[in-house]
Amino acid sequence: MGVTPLPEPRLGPVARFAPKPVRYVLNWGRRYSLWVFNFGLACCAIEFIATSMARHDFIRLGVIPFAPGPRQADLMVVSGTVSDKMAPAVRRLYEQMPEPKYVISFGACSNCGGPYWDSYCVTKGVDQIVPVDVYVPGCPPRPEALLHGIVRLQEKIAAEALGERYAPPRPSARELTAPLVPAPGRGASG
Amino acid sequence: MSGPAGYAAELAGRTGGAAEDTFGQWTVDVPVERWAEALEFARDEAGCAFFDWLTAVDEEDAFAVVAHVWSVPERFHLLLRTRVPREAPAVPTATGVYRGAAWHERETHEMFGIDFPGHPGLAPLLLPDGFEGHPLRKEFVLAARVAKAWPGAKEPGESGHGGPRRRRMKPPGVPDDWGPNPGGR
Amino acid sequence: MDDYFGSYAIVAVLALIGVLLVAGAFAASRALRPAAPTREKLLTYESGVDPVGAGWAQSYVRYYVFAFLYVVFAVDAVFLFPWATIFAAPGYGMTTLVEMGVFIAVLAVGLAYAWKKGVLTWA
Repeated sequence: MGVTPLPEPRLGPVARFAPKPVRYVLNWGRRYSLWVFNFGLACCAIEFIATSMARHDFIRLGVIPFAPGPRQADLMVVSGTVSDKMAPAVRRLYEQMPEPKYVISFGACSNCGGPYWDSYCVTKGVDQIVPVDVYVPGCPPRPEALLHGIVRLQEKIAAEALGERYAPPRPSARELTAPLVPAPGRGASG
Repeated sequence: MSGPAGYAAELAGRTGGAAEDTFGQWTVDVPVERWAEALEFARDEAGCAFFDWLTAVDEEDAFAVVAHVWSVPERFHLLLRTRVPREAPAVPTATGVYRGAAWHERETHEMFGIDFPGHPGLAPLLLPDGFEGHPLRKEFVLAARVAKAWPGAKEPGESGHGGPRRRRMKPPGVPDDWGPNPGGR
Repeated sequence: MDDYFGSYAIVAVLALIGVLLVAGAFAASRALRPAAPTREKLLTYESGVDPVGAGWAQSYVRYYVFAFLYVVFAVDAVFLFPWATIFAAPGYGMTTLVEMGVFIAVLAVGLAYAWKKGVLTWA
């Protein structure tokens, strides 16, 4: 079909070879300026909205709510039941977020299908479609639980090295072609 | 003739059906040939201009198609019910009488497989593209329950230590060669 | 002569600094960011579904009124400000005042047209 291949994932050189203090500063900036794209699907969306409002504000954690769309967000909070009909849209919107992106699965339904695990049209967990960083259990979780989940995500980002995600050290050809199980030595017993 | 009891009795008499008081609201069973006529009676003469919902019930031997209408001036419910056999089920469309029934009939069609001749377009409404089968029929196998048994208590008092140890049984209606452990286990 | 080129040199340096700032920001971003393009990421955003239709849409010519009202007021302001700083200086007499009056009269005709069309009242 003549489709041009897209370039491999890469990371900018300053971020890849940054020494630890620089990486600390970069992670600090990234984790305290998350823009959240609320993928609100069901009741957990109401709890998410409650967390964004005055009493349990998550904007004080740096998470600025309600990015206008996936292109302006770096955190996606999947809150609510993911039905099989909605699953491709979740996948597409996750793909359309710019790197680096993080996903919080909020509530039992998006963790594992929740109370509707046995339905004929529920995706049993959004981690079947997108990679999830933090799971917040509950049905629905309290707003404080989402705040805790966001803090855990921030701790995860603080410990992160972007180079491992985007420019992982690739095994050499010799490592890839080596046999998995070494052949038994000559004369060895059993 | 006034009030739900009167309208129900009148409708039952006219269509050759039966009226009964079910938990405080009147249900009229009509034969399927008189379905549109019954809906017209409900809308015009009984004053039930508000169409609430239309759906079906899978009773083991037949499908029962139920429509719920409400009278705004006199404030009473009326349930209209008809029965169709399971093979080739077809109920005349209600869209001629209540336009709002269009989507309800689409959903009933995709969930139960009941045909509504006269409907402007019976396209699937809620199920994803490529979904096979009619999920709300009793013979539709609930795959998730076959793969994993119901984790909670089935009888009161069982929670905490599970039910009495018994051979793991398949949910009712699942054929023997179905599921991760085929062969009757 | 020196003064003349001097003031333009200041503008040029400012423009260069502006360009350098923007280029520097983009370069820093390039050096820091990860890039992992996929086919779906490059698709047009349409709420998670495949985009339909062309990217172009028709604008309506009836919105020309807003365009020319903008011109009336913005051009008005752009010319009034420098004129206001110098018209009272010696050497600029009645002629300057009348000239600006004519200019404003022309713009007022445009405004009167808009008023007559009814676009200046709330619907």
